[in-house]
Amino acid sequence: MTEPDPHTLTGVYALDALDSAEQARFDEHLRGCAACRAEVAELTETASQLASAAALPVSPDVRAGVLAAVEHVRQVSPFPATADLDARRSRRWYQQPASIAAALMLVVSGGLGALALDERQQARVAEQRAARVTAVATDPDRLELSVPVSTGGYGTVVASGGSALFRTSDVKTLPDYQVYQLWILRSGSPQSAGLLGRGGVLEAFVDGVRPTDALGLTIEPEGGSVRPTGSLVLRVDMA
Amino acid sequence: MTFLEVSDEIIPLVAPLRRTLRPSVLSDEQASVDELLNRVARGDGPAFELLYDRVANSVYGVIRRVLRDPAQSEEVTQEVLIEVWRFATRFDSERGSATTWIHTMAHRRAIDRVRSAQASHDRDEKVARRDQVTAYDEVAERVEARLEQQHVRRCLEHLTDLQRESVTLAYYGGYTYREVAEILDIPLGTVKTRMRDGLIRLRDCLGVTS
Repeated sequence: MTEPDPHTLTGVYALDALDSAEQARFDEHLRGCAACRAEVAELTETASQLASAAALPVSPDVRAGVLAAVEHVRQVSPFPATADLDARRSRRWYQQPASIAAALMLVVSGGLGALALDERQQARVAEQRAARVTAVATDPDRLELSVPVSTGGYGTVVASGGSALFRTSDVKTLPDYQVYQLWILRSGSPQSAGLLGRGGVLEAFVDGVRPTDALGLTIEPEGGSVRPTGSLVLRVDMA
Repeated sequence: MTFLEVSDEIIPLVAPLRRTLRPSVLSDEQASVDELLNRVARGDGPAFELLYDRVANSVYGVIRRVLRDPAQSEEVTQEVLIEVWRFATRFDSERGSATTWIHTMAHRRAIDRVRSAQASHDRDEKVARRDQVTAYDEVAERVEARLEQQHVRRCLEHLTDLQRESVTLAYYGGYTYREVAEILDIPLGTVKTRMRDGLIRLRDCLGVTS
């Protein structure tokens, strides 16, 4: 399939209806297309009115729950953390929550169809992930496993309490009709954990991993698959 | 150059005035969602309660449209609104309205949920879901709508059937445009343009400016 003209994707983007690979490409396109950014902004405001139109009375329990919760929730700093980046650089990758979370943002939310509009929003989403990433990376009882990728390189999993950070070394670049897809391999029902791109360093933050699961990396057709169809190039058993 | 920075030249002159003056002149009832969110960003708890009352129903409504399950929708609503509190400090009014910022957060969170849960569902399931989207529309119709809601619905009626179906299957159904193309049995390119044209027509009808 030939590359579609990205300019026409503004509406799809505003409706959060792109799949992850396309979303990543369109984000890239937006950085260099001011007209597209302006159109996306307008169409997103329009889509937002569809939310207004859907308003339904929400249970008072939710109000009570939210108001009680925020009493204990600290607000984030107005500025995404960057000052101590140099200090972080010397640490291991999984001990750099903010930077890895920023890198993961495309993978995690992208795999689920919701992507940031711009850098500041990316920072926001990254911040949200950062706390969970930190929890995994700093758990003294975390599990750490490295296994080879069959096509070269290796993948590392750091896991704790049902969440796992996954990262590879620089892996073989795939042709543009293929993509690396990560899976939670659970007997009978493998679940996609997102599309990780076509090569380079692949990263993901995976939730809902059980001790009896394995993580698997496969090569799938562009756009990903509902179930693993391609060759399994890496498998890490969590137990 | 980042998103929406186009307006930089005009906004800086106006924005500081608005921030300092308007919240004190306007009563709480008149305060806009943008102003409330700015106050929330300064840790203003009472402003957050007011903000909650302004946005909670639409946040819940859009999440419920996508997820359908009331209990799960309440849970996600709660998460989103706590995030609004946490990340209010990062909201930048030059990039879009506060309401849109909140709705986008809610919609994406719902989509996250539905797509991860749906990963293993087959096409039959999707078609079943489409029917449920329609059924839910009918239920929602019976709920007495505020004027704003009626306005949006009237504008939706001005779309062609294909535009309306493409837009609502994506936004309320939570489908990717590929899935919408499959459900409506039309080419991908057609879905793309119907979504864009549909939103543009909706925008013109609603008089959205950004």
